[in-house]
Amino acid sequence: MKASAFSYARATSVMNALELLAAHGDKAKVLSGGQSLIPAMNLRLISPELVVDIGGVAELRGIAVRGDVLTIGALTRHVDLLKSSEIAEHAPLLTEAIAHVAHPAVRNKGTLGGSLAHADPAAELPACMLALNATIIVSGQSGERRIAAEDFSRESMRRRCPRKNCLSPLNCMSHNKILRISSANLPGGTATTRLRAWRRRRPSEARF
Amino acid sequence: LTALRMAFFAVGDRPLLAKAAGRLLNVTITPALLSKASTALADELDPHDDQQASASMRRHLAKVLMARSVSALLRRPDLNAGGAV
Repeated sequence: MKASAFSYARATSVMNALELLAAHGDKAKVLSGGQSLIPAMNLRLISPELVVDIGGVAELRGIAVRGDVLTIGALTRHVDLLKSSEIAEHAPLLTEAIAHVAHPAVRNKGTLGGSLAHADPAAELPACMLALNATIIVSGQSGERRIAAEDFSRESMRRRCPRKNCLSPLNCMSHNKILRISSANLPGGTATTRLRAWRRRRPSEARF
Repeated sequence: LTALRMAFFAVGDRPLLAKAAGRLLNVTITPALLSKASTALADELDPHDDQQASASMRRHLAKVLMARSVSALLRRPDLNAGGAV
């Protein structure tokens, strides 16, 4: 199947994207790497009137370490996380977990921000954010908010489940906020491990 | 262990931090203690059934993973001698 007809806008900045989202409300969806949104549109599980592509917003890219904080831009692709020496050094849990996210074609396009916004309960990256005690920074019309990973996943669930017992993650893409950055504190002397069961995995982090 | 964050996913509507991990802090970890902690984990989780796995299977695997990961973290193969809990 193919998606129903939709309009397309390529945002030039976070501010520009927020204006577009404010103007179109629930009829607009944010396109990041497109690895969840596009299949859902092709299956016609969702049919946005407008797709706001944030792929060209440079301020959402990049991995940086400042002091004891690791900051990851929302548009950072899975493959960028996998290959990053900063991530391998400061958040090896992510390096390990990413290798189990989907397959290379998806990892070449999929983004951290997209995965967190999609909030699939069976996805690796939201669980990693929880284990790493990350702070998710989101931008909206009302300004910027810093949300602890635990609260973020709770909010994602509420946003997703207007109907009770709805476990499908596909309704959650109506977020009108843009994930800007996620960051993790870097506690010293930390060891992490990640194990998988069957086709699902579980990351954990421990501090000694 | 002075701090332990164990995140489990695909066992609920969102990823969850295991409260049962708190039972492993500031104590000498023995197979018996780990077994109690993993039983507590199974009690706190309320996984769903779907075509991928039954709730009881998810609960069981979470227990197994807890034991394996603690064993791996502490480099204590003796904690996971049975391979399952």
